[in-house]
Amino acid sequence: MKQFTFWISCLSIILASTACEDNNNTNEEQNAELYRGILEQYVNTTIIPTYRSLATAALEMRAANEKLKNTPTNENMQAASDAWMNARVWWELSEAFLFGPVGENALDIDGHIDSWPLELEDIQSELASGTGLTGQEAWQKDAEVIGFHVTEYLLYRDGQSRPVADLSTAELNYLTAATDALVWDCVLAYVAWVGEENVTDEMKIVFRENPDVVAHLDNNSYYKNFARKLTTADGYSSWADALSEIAVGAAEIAGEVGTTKIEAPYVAGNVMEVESWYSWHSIDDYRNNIKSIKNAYLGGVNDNTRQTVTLSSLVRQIDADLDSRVKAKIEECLEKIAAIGTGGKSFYEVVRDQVNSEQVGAAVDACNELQQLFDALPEIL
Amino acid sequence: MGRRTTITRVLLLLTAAACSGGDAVKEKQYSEEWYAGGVNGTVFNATSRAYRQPMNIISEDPLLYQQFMRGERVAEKSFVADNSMSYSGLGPVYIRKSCIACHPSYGGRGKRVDKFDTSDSRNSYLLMIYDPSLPDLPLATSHFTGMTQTSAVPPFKPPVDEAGVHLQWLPYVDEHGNKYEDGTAYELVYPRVTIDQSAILFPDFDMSRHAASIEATIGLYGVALLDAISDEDLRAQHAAEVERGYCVGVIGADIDETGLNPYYPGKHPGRFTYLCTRATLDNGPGSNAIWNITNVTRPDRAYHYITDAYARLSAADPDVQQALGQTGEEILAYLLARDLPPEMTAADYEAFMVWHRGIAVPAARDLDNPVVQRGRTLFNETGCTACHRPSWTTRTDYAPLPALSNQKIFPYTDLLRHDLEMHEPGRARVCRTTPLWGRGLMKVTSGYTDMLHDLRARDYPEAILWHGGEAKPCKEKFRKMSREDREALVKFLEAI
Repeated sequence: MKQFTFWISCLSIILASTACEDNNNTNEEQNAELYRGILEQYVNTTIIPTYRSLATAALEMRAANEKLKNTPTNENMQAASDAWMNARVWWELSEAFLFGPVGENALDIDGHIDSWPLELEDIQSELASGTGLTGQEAWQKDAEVIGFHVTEYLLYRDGQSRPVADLSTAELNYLTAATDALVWDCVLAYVAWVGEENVTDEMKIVFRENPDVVAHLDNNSYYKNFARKLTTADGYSSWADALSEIAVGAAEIAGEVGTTKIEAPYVAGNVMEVESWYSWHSIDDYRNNIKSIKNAYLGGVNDNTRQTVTLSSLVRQIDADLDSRVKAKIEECLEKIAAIGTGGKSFYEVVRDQVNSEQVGAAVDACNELQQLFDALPEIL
Repeated sequence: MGRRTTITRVLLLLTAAACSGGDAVKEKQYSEEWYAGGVNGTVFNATSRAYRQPMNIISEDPLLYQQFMRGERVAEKSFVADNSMSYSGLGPVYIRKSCIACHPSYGGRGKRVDKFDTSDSRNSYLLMIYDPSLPDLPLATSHFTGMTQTSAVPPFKPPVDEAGVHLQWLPYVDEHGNKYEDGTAYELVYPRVTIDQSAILFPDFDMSRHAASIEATIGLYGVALLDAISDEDLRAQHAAEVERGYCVGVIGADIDETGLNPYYPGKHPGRFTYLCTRATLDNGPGSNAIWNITNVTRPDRAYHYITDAYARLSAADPDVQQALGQTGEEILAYLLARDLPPEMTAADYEAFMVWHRGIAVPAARDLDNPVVQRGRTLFNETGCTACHRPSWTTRTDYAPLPALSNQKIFPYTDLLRHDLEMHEPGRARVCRTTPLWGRGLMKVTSGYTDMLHDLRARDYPEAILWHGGEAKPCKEKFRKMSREDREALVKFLEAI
């Protein structure tokens, strides 16, 4: 990462070269303005909209599950499954910036809502009890019996939405309680990043539904309005270190997708290591992780909301070709991960049947190359 | 987790170069002190992920990197009891479900919390139950495991019910009325742990004759570099302290690792844990913890971390017998078996150890800042280095990871135990000097700066102010410093 700092420093020289009469402080102030601008775009156009969309999607999931519970039809089951999938997409789109409030030594939102494997015996035992579990009780439970993968387990089997007739009343109750817990965690991530004072009244009401959630944020007050901390480099040794969060986060998830999420389960032939095990949604998960990198690098949350003051624009000023290569590698990763599913296969099936090895290898290579680009930008410069 | 390329060893001097009319970029060599973990064990990363980076020697080796990533996965996953799942094998009785549960940010430490709740990811405390009436404060191992287990997979019951563990933070006023010489006030707090008798599973265990205390986990990064310091150098440090006659540290007792450490069998002085009860990394706190914290068996640990007393009580428990449909004899045989099937493969364990050894030390920061340099002078003049020994050079032949041989490292510890005479220190009264490297990044990695063995200090000044006993003269010098000097000293600590 020092290379990244060097590279930032190079830009500083370029920026400083026209103002030689200035002292160090002036240069630092100029850099601070530039870095602050990039960080503000990163936070305001990528991170916060992603968490806002995640919170909204979780609320839609809650509404769909309530409807399913009240009127258990296959149509409502499909709608609930689709709502889960939509929330899942926004979560995967957040994985290039799993730091700040969501970290395990902060509010532990990542650990609380995306835990895998599940403690199935405990889940079965809870179901056998008929489950009068409330959302508040669910939120206090261990992560292995709540979160995305438990709600996925209740809604999906073998890549398909379950027939509604298969769901017991206890399962529907568990689903709504676990979804409440998920909603609060998603809203908590959003509120922590942006500050409670800056969310809508509707979101504030949801955040305050569970006093335990409110107390959790109060007990970790450093993470209140983390957007302000990051955009002022509060706590960081330098502006360059704060800005480095973007590249480090991108590098980390690129490496994780390639080595941990794709290569490791395939090489071991272990389907239990495949993410989104019940919905067989892994390939989309991995692509959404890469899209998360794309959003962090180019700003916005999709191709219609790209920004002008971004990490990408900074790279482009120094080395336009490098910027092009980073962007091209992102697209290559998206294509090669999609190709893993050649023949209409889910990643679960690819791992189970040990097929498409060439495509798997190509995707892993592309992800590792993307990681190296983010890691080693200064040396390439 | 980033695959890292070779560190460029230059620092760009921005304005001086740009304004000199000469070359646009002037380069200077980093001094060795920036490489806190030596050239091969340091990464330059000061972000929220600073404590979880692989060393470059790991990143640049495809096999080691693959193992590192696998090991990281093993360390961060919560183990489960369900045998149909991966990462199964939790229990029957356990302390935590994962490494990350007590090591947030991997190398980070836990947070000072008000409640002993092991499901709280910020709570990294281990609970110790001991006999306070004896000089060496022995653990109550007749009933409890050394690190007390407070969780169990049903139908087994935890030896201690966490709901009956009470953690209080009490104010402490020192002999100066909690004031610096310049009149500035400070506040100190310390923990008191009590356990209700009703929370104890054993009917024959008298809690009123025992005491409990908490110990927070220690940072993980760079531990292989500490492992790579030779026994001879460690013994020489101890001998030098004996020779000088003040601040004489206690060296860890020799531990026979024959059959336990494939690289270094034989006897070695303890250097890991607060009480220096572990001598080498391959039979060290992490190597053991991945087994005894979770009770996940593996080929070289084919038995449970369990006491006879617990096994007998559980085996005789009608609830357990009924739920399992087994006799007491069968349950007892299972709990005390020495040949259980491994729940973790040897390959996963070795990958875990590659990860454990391979986490890099973050490089120092701001060492060229005049305030930091002033702080370094004060650190030296105050006498801190008597125990916080700045640097060591690792052995010439470190077999587990040869690239970590011959590294000059800056951990700021003598790896010996000292008595700081803290108020109610709990069991870790004579405590190993904490390595200071990288701790300045706690704020950015964790959002808090809780320190010392029980996290009673909330920042650097409080940590210094808790230094009594052998280190009291240093504390007094700090207390008498001007605000400017105190801040400079802290800036230095934050930089290293």
